[in-house]
Amino acid sequence: MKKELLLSSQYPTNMQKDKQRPIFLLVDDNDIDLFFHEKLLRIKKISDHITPFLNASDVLDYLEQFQEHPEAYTETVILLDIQMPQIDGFGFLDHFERMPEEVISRTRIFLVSSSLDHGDLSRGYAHHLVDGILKKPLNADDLIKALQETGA
Amino acid sequence: MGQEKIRILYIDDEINNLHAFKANFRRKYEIYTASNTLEARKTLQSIPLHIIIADQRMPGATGVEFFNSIKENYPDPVRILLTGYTDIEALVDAINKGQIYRFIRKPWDDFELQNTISNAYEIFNTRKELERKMEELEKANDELSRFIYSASHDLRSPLMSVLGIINLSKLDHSITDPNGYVAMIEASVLKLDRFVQKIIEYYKNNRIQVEYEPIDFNVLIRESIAFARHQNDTIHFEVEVEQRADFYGDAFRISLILNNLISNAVKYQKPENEHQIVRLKVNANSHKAVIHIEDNGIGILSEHLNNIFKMFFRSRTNNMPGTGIGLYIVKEALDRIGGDITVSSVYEKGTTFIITIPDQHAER
Repeated sequence: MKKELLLSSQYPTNMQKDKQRPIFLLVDDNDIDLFFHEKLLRIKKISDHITPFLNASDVLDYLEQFQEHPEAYTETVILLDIQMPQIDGFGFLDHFERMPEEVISRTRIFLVSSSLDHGDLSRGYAHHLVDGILKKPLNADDLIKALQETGA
Repeated sequence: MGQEKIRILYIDDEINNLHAFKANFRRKYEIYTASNTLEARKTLQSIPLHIIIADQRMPGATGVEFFNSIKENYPDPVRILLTGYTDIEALVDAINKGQIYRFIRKPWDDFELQNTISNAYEIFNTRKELERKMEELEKANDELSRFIYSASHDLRSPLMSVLGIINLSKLDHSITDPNGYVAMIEASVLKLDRFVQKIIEYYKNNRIQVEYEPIDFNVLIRESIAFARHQNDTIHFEVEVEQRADFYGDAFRISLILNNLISNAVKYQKPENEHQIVRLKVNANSHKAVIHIEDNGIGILSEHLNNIFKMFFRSRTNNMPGTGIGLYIVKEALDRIGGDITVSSVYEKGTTFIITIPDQHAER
């Protein structure tokens, strides 16, 4: 947790010179998927600003700093696993909803899941904070398309 | 449980009868008495009774009326009516409506009454046992479904990780693989994933409630074709949908059936054939939908036709990557919605499935 917080503190400086490209926050309890997603984003040059988190509460801790300083928050894309122990994807969304409006409006959230469960998927599509659902294994073309379709 | 005394409540406005009953049976049974229905209710509230005996002729309410009034809240105790010869009409009615288990004529014969009580107690125990068994069965069923569900999901997620890493190795060219081992790993993982997906389909068909909604066969067929094209995009589809009226059906299960049959028609083709065709014909009216799914693929040996809807059956004549569960799911899904399926096939010429699905307008 601490390590990730340290990593994330680099972002504001990075973002100054590269304003149009979003920060990526990856949330998945599976470290292999997390590794794969990060690699894929880098190889496909989708983003260099990537922070992986192994559970939802760590991202929430990271986001906490923007409660006080929402103006420091830059455009962010969150790739969120649905099935995680303790706080799952939907649990994270419940917390995220309480973030300042500046934060929410500058965030795009994509669920990334291997679930074929109709309940999970339709809950995802119905959620107002969810911009899309991507299937595992994550496909770079699908992600790029989703980013283009939702991009400002 | 064998040592438990039988708990009996006896209601009669004639106090002498209550005394007589108690005197005769108090050593054998745990006896509660009441001279009116109000008292009887108080006992019912506090004592878990096995048997209730009531006199038919009481001021205020008859025995049958009393039984009727407690049936809802106290369904368990077995009900016995005491009555004279004159009340036959009321009696026949009460027995037929299941309000009482048996009647005893007044004045009672001790031996007969004792026999009736033992039989009634046996009934009580049998019912209890049955309830217990039902509960166990429901629990076991529920647990099994939940197990299938979570096992399938937990199996699937590491498979997706493997596929992800394989994709990664292709992207960064980090694996030197002149013999194509990675491709073999990928093919095996995909095969296992298909199997897991079938298990999830089976689970869903079993668990999801049947729900009827308007069906547009054009849309369903189009979706199924899109789904099947992934496997083989050289196939030529001939589609003919004739839907004359609104049709109500279970969209989830009809899709499941179409997806499985169309994907089979696409999968079991002769690779050397340059004109691989799948013909789909839908004829739907306000009573039923008849759907033909015809292919010019490898066909099914006639001696196997009887077995293809059985779980895990796979025709030995092909080395196609089947799971042996698809057609079983099709049959199960059709059973759930009152549909039917027939198959005809000529080996090495092709196969035709015809499914019939009833319209569910009336069920709405």
